[in-house]
Amino acid sequence: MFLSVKHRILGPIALLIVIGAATTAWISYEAVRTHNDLQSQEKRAYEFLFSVERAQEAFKSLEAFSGDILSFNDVMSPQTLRARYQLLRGALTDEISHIQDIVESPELARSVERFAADAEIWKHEAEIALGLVDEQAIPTRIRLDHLRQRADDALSEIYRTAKSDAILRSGMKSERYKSRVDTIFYSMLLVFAVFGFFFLMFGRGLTGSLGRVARSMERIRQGNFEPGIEREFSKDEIGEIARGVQAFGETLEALTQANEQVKHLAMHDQLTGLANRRALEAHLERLISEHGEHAGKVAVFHVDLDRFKQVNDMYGHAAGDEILRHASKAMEDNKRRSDLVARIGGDEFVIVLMDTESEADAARIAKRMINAISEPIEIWNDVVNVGASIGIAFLDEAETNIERILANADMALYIAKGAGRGRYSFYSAETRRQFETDMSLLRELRVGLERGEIIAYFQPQVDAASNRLIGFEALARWVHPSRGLLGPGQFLSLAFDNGLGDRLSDIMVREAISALREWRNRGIDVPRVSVNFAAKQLRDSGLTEYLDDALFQAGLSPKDLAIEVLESVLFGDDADPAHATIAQLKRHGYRIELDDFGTGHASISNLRKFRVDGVKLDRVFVTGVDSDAEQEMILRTLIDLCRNLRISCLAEGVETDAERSKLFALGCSHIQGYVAAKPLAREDVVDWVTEQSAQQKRPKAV
Amino acid sequence: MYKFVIGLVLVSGLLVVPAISSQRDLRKDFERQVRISFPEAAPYSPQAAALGKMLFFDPRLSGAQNMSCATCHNPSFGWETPVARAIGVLNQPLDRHAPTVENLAEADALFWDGRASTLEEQAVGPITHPKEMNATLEEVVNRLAEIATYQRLFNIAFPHEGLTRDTVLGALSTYQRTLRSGWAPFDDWVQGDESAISEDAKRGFELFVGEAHCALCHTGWALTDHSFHAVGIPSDDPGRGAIVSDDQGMFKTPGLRNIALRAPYMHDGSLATLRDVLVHYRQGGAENFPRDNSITPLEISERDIDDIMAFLNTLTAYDPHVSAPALPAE
Repeated sequence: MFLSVKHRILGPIALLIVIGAATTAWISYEAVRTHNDLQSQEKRAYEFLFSVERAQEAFKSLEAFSGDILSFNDVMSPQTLRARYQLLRGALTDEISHIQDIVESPELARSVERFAADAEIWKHEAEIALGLVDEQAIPTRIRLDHLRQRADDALSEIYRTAKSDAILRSGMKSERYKSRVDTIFYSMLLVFAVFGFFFLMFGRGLTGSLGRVARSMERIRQGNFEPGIEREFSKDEIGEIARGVQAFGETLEALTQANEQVKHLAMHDQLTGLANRRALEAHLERLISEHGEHAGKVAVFHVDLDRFKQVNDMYGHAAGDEILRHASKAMEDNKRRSDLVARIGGDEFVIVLMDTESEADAARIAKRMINAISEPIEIWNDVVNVGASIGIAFLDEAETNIERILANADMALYIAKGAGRGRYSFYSAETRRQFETDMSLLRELRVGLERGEIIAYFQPQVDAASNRLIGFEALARWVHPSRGLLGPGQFLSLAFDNGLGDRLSDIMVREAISALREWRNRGIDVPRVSVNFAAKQLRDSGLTEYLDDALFQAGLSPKDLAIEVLESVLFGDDADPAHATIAQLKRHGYRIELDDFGTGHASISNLRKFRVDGVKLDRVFVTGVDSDAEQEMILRTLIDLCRNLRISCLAEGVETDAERSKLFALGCSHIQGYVAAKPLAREDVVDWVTEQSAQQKRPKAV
Repeated sequence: MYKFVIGLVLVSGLLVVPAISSQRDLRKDFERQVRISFPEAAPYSPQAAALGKMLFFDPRLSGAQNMSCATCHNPSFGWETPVARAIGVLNQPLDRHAPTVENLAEADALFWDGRASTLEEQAVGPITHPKEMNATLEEVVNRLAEIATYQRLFNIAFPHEGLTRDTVLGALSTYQRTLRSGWAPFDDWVQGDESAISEDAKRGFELFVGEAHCALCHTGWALTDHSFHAVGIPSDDPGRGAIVSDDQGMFKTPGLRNIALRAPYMHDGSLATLRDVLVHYRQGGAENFPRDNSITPLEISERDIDDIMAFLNTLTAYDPHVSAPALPAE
């Protein structure tokens, strides 16, 4: 049954009013009725009592008359006596019959009958005594008195009984009225109780429903959008409210979700789902404002993926995205709950680590992160490796500027990357100093490149057996205006890391070509000049054409230029465009040499595949070979490998005659190093060649 | 011991119960009659009774018009007069004490010696006796006839006869037959009201009907056998012996109703108080005078006498119920 709230509230009130009114009316009716009853009963009682009194008077008159006669003080004629007696007796008889007519209670009626009988006996005896009946046995005066007394008593008894009856009956009426009122009252109480109970139930249902609605609203307020509104709210106003609440909840839920989404979008990176820079900054700001509430230090990791650009270039953006997701997941998996990982740029991430106990702790985590990111990824059936470098800075009392902290981490990262890939580095004052030095060096380098301060030095490569010149390796030198001559170790990686590699390579190629041209013009037979190329330059598909053009303009040919590439270039897969460039250079007749052979993990099969013209044994194998048997054995193996593959072999960094002799003994006659000559300025080469020629013409000192 | 006590209680109980029941039975003998039987020859009428009362109190019935019947039968003294022997018209004591006129309707012998057999007959005596009222009936009738009211009243009471000698006597007799001593505490006791009389009186009653032999003669509700007995009164009056020669010294037994009002006692008023009377009977009367066989000395104590007196006092009516009539004067 569905009752509207209005009915549920107003209904009981109306019903209670009706019950109250009905009860009042009933009680009033009973009161009036009882009053009327009492009045009429009182009237009848009075009438009866008056009759009895009249009967008493009539009886007394009759008796007095009889008494007068029987005192024998006067002689009354029988006729008069009879007449007067009968008059009085008639009055008495009338009263008695009137009493008999109006008597109500049977008990009283019996009393009246008794009195009538007594009076009759008395009358009979009195009539004898009065001479109205012929009888010789005359009742004594005493007997008459007794009989009169009996009748009198009976009448008095009637009077008393009637009186007490009237009182009793009016009392009974009152009692009945009282009990009726009691009954009504208790009925009313019962009705009130019963209805009240039902109304309470109704009210309870009502308040219960309201309570549920209220709780639902409270839940909504607390963000639980399942209002839990049941079907029972169907028809009444509360049902409407409940449905309203439900709709409200649903709308609010949708809005909240949208809001969450907007917030998420604002604060998160779309691709990886990680926090974005803004979220990071907010997080850091919060940390700074809460500073001191964290037990340990807060570490900020600046993570940069190694080789990401290569993979992106090689496999496209979709693959890059895949790498980013992989890296994100790796970091997310390895962070703690309280830590935050944010993506702040293409392949740059920041991890905020809470409560880092020590640098060692941070280092451990950084290592774990690097390892996780470095896990090989399978992309389109290929296995790709990226690495990561991490710069670490701490958030401490001294440092509360977010920008500076991030910059510090960035500097540390820079240092880490500078130290080689897959490393981490902590920010320190030294870091900053080095970074700033590097940056100022970079600025100077940019200027220097424009001013031609970068020049090539040439280190001769000779055949140890014949002491014949094989060629020169062009090595970059920076003629720094204030610091003097700087070697490549001091600026090369700086240049390559900062996009100056192409420009540097360009300078080196032009220097090498112009130097060779010059030497040839001056009649010096220089077979070739080697120039180093980084993988990035090799990936430029226009490299071959550019070299061809430069050689052609100088009147030279590709065989005059050897391309030195790092062994690691060949380590990559077939998709690397550098491989195509190498193959093209090879086809055009350029000599390809592997630099730093033995350190870059080039596969033997790739040596065959690219038909590399020569390898350069790294100086780590060469230095000290004359005194280390194990090193000697490795070197022997490498040399044997080259010989067997018919690849020419040149040892770098040969500094002593002993080393030269040992290499020679092992079968590697081509050497480069101080034992032969230091790198020479372009203008010194002519003198050196001339001197060498002169020495060769002299008999060999034994 | 206990058994003995219980037995004693039981035995005494058995003795007491019949005693009570017999006393109750005895009481029945003293229940009052509710009717007065009038003789056929003298029918009752209230008019006759009323007329009789007037005559009873009317001194014009005496020769010298100085005495009425009530002079010696004064209702205030139990219808007697408180002298040993009544004083007559000659202002001299008569021979005997005036007896009461109460409760005589049933009596078939009147006067101490019973020489009259009806009240009518008896009434002639005192009116006409020269020592008493000293009138003749003719004189009385004539005197009354001169009073118109009496004429009228006689015509009412006796419509056929009017005022005659007989109707005068009849009226007097009718009135006297209506005279009954009033309701006394003893009557209440007889009706069963145990608290009506004292325990002494009850004991007195026991003695009265028992050991003291009183009830041998004083029987019935009026406490008289309406008979004649010699009780050893020292007197030379022959009493009943003047009528019946065998009954020398016998006198009519007087009723004992209102007896306390009626001193002095005996036919000659020789005993001044009831105690004297009781002492007389305890002694068994005077030895040299006629006595019934039943008159013998009694073994009763002073206390017994007190008790019997207490009983006799219970016979005095609550209310003498006598009012005086207005007499016609002419």
